[in-house]
Amino acid sequence: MLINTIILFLRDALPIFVISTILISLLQHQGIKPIWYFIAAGVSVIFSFLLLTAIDDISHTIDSTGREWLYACLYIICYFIALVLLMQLPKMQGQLSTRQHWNICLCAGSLMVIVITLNSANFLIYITGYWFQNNASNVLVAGVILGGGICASIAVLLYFLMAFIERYCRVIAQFLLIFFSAGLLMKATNLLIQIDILSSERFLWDSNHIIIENSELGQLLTVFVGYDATPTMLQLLLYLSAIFIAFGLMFLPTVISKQSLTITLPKEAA
Amino acid sequence: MVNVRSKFVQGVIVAFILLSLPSLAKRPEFQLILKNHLFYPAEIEIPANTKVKLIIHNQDQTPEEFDSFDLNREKVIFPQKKAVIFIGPLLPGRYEFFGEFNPNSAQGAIVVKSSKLNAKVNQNTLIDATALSSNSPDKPVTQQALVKELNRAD
Repeated sequence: MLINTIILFLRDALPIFVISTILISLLQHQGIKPIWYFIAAGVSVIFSFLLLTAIDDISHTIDSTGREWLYACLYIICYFIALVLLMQLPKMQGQLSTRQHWNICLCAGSLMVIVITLNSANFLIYITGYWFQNNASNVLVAGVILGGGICASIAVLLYFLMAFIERYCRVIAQFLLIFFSAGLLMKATNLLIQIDILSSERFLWDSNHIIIENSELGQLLTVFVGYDATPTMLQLLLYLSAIFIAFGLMFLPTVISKQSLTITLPKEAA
Repeated sequence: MVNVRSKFVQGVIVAFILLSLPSLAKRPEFQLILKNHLFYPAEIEIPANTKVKLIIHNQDQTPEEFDSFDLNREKVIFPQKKAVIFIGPLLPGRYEFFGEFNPNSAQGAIVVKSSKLNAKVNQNTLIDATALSSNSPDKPVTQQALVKELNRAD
């Protein structure tokens, strides 16, 4: 039970630690203090318990597919929030207006609230379901502490790795946010396929023989880039479109502003 | 700008409707029961190249998460409740699943058979559910009998 608790904790908590690290690092670069994070974390705790009490009833709505609908819709919303956040970020440091400041905090905060709420409600179902079974509480607490330690270590490593890579690639946090949010979109498509809303043709490939989805590396890749060992054509197309749209929105304003600069400069000179 | 945005929203809605059209089709149903952290039947045979509806009844007092890496599915089933998932279309083969909260005991497999005829026959095949049927422990039940028993319980 201890190992199972650690595995389940890692599965549900790792995305929270990863997105926290990415967003804290991203907003720190814009000179935003992490007060937004503490507020978001507090709100998430309340929402998680609210969701935990309601999830049983939600699950049984819409012909027992309510939970999938809720999670898929919120994951899709997460992707769009990430897009808005990327669009709000100024291209040059020190250009942040008050409105942009609040917009960025709001986007980052709501992204955090959704991710924490959905993931922690998942884990709370397990904890609350088995807490009173055969005096399992000690094992569950030990599992959470060990899992928390592993997640915290990964988050700290990621933070310093990002700080190192930023010397060579300034937009590493943005890149990670794009892949993370595209991964959430993949989760949403999986849920919609599971309840027969999206059509599920055969898997395009099965890369389980290269990287097993259930392995440690597989889990890490799932969190960071939305790795799926058995994707369908529809999922692949949606994933690639999601990434291209996000990169387009990130780089297009820079390209347009550069072009307008080259057009206006000679006129000004004349 | 508003026009472009409304067209985009319309486009998304139309795309969603088109993509969800397959869900209107009626799918063959298969029942699965979870009791004492064990799946009954432990193996279900389904037809190849067909999407099927799997209804899982959790008769335990604790929640369970149906999980399968082979099928790319995971779903929480609350105590004394049922859950619905769709699987397939699949190629013939064996696809394993397990209960994520009790992976050592709750294990099973979906066996995909090549022809529809085979699967239809297999729906009526005797399955060993002696541990499940408390009324008649020596009498094995069919998938149809299992459905009847569940309907009566509902």
